[in-house]
Amino acid sequence: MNIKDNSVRSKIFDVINVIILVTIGLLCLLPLWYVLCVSLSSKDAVNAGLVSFWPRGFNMDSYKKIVGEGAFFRAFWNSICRAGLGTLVSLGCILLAAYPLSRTKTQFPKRNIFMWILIFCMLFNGGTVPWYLTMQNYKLIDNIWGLVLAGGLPVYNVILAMNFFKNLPSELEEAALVDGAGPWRIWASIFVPLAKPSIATIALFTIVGYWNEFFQGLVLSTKEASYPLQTYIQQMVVTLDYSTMNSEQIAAASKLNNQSLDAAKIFIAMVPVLIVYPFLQKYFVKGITLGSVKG
Amino acid sequence: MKLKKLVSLMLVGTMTLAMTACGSGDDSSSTPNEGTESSGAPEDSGGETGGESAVGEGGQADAGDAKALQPFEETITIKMGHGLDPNTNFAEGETVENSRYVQWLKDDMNIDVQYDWICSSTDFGQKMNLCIGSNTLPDAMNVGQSQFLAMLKYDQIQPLTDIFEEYASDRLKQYVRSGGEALMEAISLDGEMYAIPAPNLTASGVNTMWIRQDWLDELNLEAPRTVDEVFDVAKKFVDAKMGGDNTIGIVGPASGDQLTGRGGNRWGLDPIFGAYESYPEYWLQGDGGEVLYGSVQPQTKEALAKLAEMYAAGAIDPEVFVRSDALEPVTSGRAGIFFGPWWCGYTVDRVTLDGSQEWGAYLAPLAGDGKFYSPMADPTSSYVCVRKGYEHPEAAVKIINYLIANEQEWTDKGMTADTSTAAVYPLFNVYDNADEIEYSYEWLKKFNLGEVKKEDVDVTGRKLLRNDLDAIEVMKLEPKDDFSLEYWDLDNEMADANIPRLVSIMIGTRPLVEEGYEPVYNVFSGQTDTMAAKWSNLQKLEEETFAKIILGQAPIDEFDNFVTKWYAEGGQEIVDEVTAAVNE
Amino acid sequence: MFNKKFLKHYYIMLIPAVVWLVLFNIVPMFGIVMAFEDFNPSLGMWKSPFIGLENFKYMFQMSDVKQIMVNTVVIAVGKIIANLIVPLVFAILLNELCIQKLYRPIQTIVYLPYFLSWVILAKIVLNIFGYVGPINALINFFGGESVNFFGTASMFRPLVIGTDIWKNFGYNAIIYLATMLGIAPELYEAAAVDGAGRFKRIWHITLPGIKMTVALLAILSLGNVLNAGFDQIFNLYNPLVYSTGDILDTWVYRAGLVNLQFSLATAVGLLKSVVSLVLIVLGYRMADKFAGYKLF
Repeated sequence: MNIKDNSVRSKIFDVINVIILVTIGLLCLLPLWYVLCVSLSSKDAVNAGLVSFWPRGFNMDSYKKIVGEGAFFRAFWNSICRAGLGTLVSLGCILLAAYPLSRTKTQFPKRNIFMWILIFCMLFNGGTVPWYLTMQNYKLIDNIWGLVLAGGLPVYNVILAMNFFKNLPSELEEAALVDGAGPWRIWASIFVPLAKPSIATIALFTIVGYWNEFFQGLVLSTKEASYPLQTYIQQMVVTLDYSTMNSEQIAAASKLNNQSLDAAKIFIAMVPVLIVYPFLQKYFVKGITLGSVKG
Repeated sequence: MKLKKLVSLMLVGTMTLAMTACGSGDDSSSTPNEGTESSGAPEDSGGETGGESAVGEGGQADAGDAKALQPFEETITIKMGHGLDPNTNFAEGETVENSRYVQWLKDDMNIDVQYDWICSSTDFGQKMNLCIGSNTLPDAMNVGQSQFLAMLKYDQIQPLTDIFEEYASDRLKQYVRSGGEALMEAISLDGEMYAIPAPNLTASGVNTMWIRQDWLDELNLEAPRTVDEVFDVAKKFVDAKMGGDNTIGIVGPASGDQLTGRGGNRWGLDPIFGAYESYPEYWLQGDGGEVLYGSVQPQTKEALAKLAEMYAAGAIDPEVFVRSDALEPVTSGRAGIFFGPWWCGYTVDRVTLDGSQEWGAYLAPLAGDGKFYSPMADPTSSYVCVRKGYEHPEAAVKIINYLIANEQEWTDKGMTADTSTAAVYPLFNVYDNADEIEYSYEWLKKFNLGEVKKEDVDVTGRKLLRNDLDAIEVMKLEPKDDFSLEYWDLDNEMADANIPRLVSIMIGTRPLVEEGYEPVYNVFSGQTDTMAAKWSNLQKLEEETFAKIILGQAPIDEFDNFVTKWYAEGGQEIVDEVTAAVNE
Repeated sequence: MFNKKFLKHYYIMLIPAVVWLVLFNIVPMFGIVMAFEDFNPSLGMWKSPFIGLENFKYMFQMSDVKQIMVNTVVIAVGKIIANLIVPLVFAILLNELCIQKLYRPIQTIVYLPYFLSWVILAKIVLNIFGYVGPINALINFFGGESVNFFGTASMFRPLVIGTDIWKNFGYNAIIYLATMLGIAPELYEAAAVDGAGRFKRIWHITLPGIKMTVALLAILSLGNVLNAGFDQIFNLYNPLVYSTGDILDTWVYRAGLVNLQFSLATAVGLLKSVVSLVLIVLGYRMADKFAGYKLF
């Protein structure tokens, strides 16, 4: 908050605070910087462990190589579709469900039953094999909807949204009720617009969740063309077991190890989330003013 | 969050690794189909398999081979899963499903290969586990040992004894027989064979000592042979700061590597155990027929005591077990010694090619009696299995026959250059002679020294040897018998593609052939009932105790507690079970 | 205020979420039966032999079950607590930042490590704490002996918890920051007029404004009391730190390497879920009883 407080104590606090936050920021930039350095270094320097926090043997080969890889961009596109569709569907479901669930027990007597079912579903699962069999029955293999839906309802986000709604001031709603508004109008014209920072948060969580998920992507795909990006990247981190290879395979494998290229892929895969976040930050606007209600 | 890691049960399965057709296109040898080792008495194919007589029968008659490559009358379909290396190159318009090999199999054999799924070779194990768990196996699959054992336990695959007898080509039978009884046992249950194996390369199972030859020369040292000499040289490397302040005498296993393994184990310390005739993780048969587990034998204690002494003296990497990657100190020129199989020439390929480091390989350290004891690898790690209930199990056998029969010709004619068999051929394995590497060494050596002419070397069925001969002719400078780095033509434009392999063979394989070693075999590679329940805990106990002793975090006498505990916590039962299984 | 006419609409609003939940969360739960079976895939889910609680018994008969449980709970609880407090403190500090231009960049930067998987982060962490890494260089500079951080059992848990915070705090702080934005600025203005200093405002306005969210996250995180983080530990541990670092999930992983143990994995999963549920119910009750919070 920008309210001036000119005491000495406060000034000292400000200075220390800036130092702490900048230090923390640098610490967090470290791993990404490292990945970037690796991606810009020569393959040999990376293998020798020479790259720490400055590129060695600077070159852009890895990035040039990626541009030529159709599979990478297909996976990229799959992930964009997945995150886009998924966010639409999830946000719709979450925001709709969060409203009745944020009502009090008097307003919606059955809400607690729903809440506990949600909690139960958040904690329990039947394991991968039955889940896979179910998805197969639903014909969601190699299907973009499989990537969107198969993970199930993001219960955690529903609960968060419910909590955000519950914390909204009730005055606006009461005023609307007096005006004779129904639940849909209250939802659409009061809750959703007022909870913008919260919705942005949940949207971010949803996008990131879809973007980072790779295991379902692997299980639900029978070919590389349907991989989302993280599944694609995950498969590149190849664990080689030389002991079972024949000599031709060993010869080939020794050429493949390319951590520099892997790093470039990891870096590019982060770009969309880096773009999305500042965009969503626009909705992190301070101060939902109550003035309109009270005044 | 939903799925957790519950089914990331296994990460490494068999890896059908891609290869970018390593230049053997100009190979002009012919008649691949000749059946080099046609006769083949059905020697020790394991009396209890009951397959003996028929194998013999198939071995003699041409009729047997005719059946092996006879196309189906009507097109049959076989479904598979495939682990594809993500870096594979394809010719224009080809995919795994639509490769030339699939087309040829359809045209020549009337087999229609279809794919249930294709994933990266890294993920193959996980996909396969999912198939096992959900009982949605493809018709035929090429898997590793643990998955083979699981499918066997769950009764998901069919016996192949009769099919194999009837349809396997002579050469395939020959390869399988070449693995001897041990191989037969590894793929059989109750006298029925359940998989078609591909034998492992023998040489890949032997760990040699790789040492910085240039450092030895600089310090005027002989290559060390005994444990104490190895220890001494490692210390001298460190004391002389040969690789700078953080010189590492002996590199050990990094996080995720194994201290000891079964067979080839780069970065492991197996040879030091071997010098005390200790074979951790091996099932050994004593003179009286009793079965012993190597890790709990007194010899292992001696080896551990020595390792602890070496660690304390700074001769072993201070960050052993913890380091994220053991390759780094080697590549960056800080390491003096490591252990690994012949192919470690590829491990040091960059530093060899840029001329910055010279590595030698020796069988060391030797045991007290002057011999090098080498624990050997399992006879196979690739199992081709057929799902129970699939009507045409012979199709899997025929697919393999077809590969063996034609592979050489394809390579010779350059038909595999743009889409390699290893990457996309269905059920691909290398069916090769287990002695490929030793054979290559001997002939390359003779040729290099001018003892034989290139034309006189028999390259039949040896895929890379012709190319190796061409390469060594150019790359190896005078004097031909000195393999120091300066006498290789490192600047040749072909060096990148050939020197690592030549170094691996001429330097890495040399001691195996020239110095000789005593092979020690594991006598049991299956899984007993108690093992299923308790083995992972016993292994944890072993790994933890050994690591702590070496680092001096536990006294050497902790080993005795470990042995007591090991037997008490299921080890004794397992020893009994294994003894029964072995002596059956 | 109860309005019967609204009720119908509430149900309609719940329909999409409930359908999704039933089809994709509840239906696959039939797999839980595997925990009570000696599951054999070729017999299938319903015909595999029923063995009651054998899988659970097996789990608790292990000689080192106590050690594994202690490791799991200590690491998990450490992470839970730290992951509640550190992001909270960070969010408050950021909220008090006097240079507005830095607010968004810092907020963006701190959430970056969240996007890197442990496979990559582990390598960075091991290098930083390695013998020739910057930390040991610092120790040597001040005359200390190099420390084998990840080879020392007693240091493993703090390192795991610490590096987990490093990866996740920025992401976790987002919820707090979003909640703080919801606090009406008038409250701060009023407090300023009343002469409240900065620390008083933090104490009396910011903290109360987010206390419900903190409590909610705290209770939800109770569900993680047996999740010590497989990916992280798997990539960081080694035999030297088994005694303090081997957790339930790494144990299941190693057991599975020997033998594809589908039933065991399900049983461990079920155990974790049941424990989580019990703790969350308890937490909910206690929050209700002692603070009067109805969190769900």
